Amino acid sequence: MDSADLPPSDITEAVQHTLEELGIHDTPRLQELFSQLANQLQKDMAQLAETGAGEPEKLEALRVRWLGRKQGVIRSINDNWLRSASPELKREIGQLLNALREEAERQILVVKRAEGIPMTPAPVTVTPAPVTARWSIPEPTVFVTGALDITLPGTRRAVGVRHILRRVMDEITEIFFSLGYSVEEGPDIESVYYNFEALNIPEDHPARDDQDTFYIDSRTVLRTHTSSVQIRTMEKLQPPLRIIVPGKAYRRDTPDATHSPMFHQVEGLAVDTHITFADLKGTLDYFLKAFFGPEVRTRFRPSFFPFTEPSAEVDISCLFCGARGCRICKQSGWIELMGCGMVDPALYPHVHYEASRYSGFAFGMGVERLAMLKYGVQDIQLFFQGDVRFLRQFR
Amino acid sequence: MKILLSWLQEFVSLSTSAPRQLAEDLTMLGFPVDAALTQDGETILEVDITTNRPDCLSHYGMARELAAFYGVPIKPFGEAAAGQAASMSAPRSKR
Repeated sequence: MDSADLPPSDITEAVQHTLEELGIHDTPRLQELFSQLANQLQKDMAQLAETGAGEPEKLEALRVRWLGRKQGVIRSINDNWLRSASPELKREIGQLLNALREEAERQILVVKRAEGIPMTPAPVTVTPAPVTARWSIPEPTVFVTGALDITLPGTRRAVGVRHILRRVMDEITEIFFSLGYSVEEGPDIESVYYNFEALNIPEDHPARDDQDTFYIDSRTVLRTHTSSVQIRTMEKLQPPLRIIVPGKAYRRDTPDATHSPMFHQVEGLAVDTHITFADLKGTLDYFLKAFFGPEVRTRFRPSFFPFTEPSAEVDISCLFCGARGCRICKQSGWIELMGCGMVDPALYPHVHYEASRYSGFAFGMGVERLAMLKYGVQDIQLFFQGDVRFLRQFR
Repeated sequence: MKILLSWLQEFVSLSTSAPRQLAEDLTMLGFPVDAALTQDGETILEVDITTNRPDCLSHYGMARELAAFYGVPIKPFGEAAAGQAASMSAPRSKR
């Protein structure tokens, strides 16, 4: 079958056959074939202008004939000629096919614009030929539409950030990891035994007051401190023990700039033979210098917690005035930061440790307080309001 | 607890009567001072007392603590109590 003998109207028939079937093996014959197709396109357009002007259905029919996804001329050439062609001819066909398709798209677009037919809103994609040879370059995706301005910048997808409290907790745990501590966790809903009794807080102690504690029932509370995990861990593990416990704690406080009914603590516990108060001081001094910077000085002040004896409060030199005295440190030059102490031996019988053999220290700090001091946050409520404008400042 | 400086001085003669220094010393003794204010010519210290120190929930108790810290004598309890009883019946301005 010789394509040159085909009547011009039959040229679109030819695309249903392979080049092999058409007997075409060289570039000149191929170019001739494409120029016949181009002529046919011109004829179709001319006919449309004569008989079908102003009729969207006829234009659509013409579009389907040439650019239709399933049986259009372009598609058929892609399927029937290009796929089975020899590598030398493939590049030639690809270029000629692209030119033909662009011409058809352009012509149709011109008519559409002239007749005021709405543009196809979605970009029309012509599937490129499957890549079979190493040298073939994938055809670019072609967008054809007037409604889309492809020069507009894209919309960037918003990426979240770690919550500032999570970040501070990670910072704290990271420092203690470097000291050989590991992380332990416990439940937020805790029994009175773990939250109070085993921590040496007797039944009539003011800390047990419903004013301070969320009771679920008479034996169950929302834990008021992460210290309850100390007991759980000591029940589970034998000394030597070095753990930190990051987690949430709950107290019945009225929310204000420094109080929240839910807040975060990081608790620490080390139990071993020969642990002294000096170890506690060294550990916390190292931690606070690592967290706030080497220029920070620490001070230990006697205090009282039922589960440590002796107990102390830890102050750091004021970060804001360099210990000269300012509003934030109430002119004292020191900022109260955390509580600590030597584990009260009264706790050991609860967990079946030998009180005469082991000693340990424990400490607890408020994550919000540390975060507020380190990042200059004025109101604790900001941490929990979920305002992205606030949260995204901390990357 | 609120502490009247003048009342403390009835029991113990303090080596310092500067409220600032006293507040600092009390804080380091384990009795954080929340505020030191002056009212009607009297210095008042607002002192936090932890629950393990109920013995300090009185002016005499605080005086005892400070006497030990500064190494100065404290008026014996019987004498102090008698003095208090006397001043209770007298008008307040005499104290």
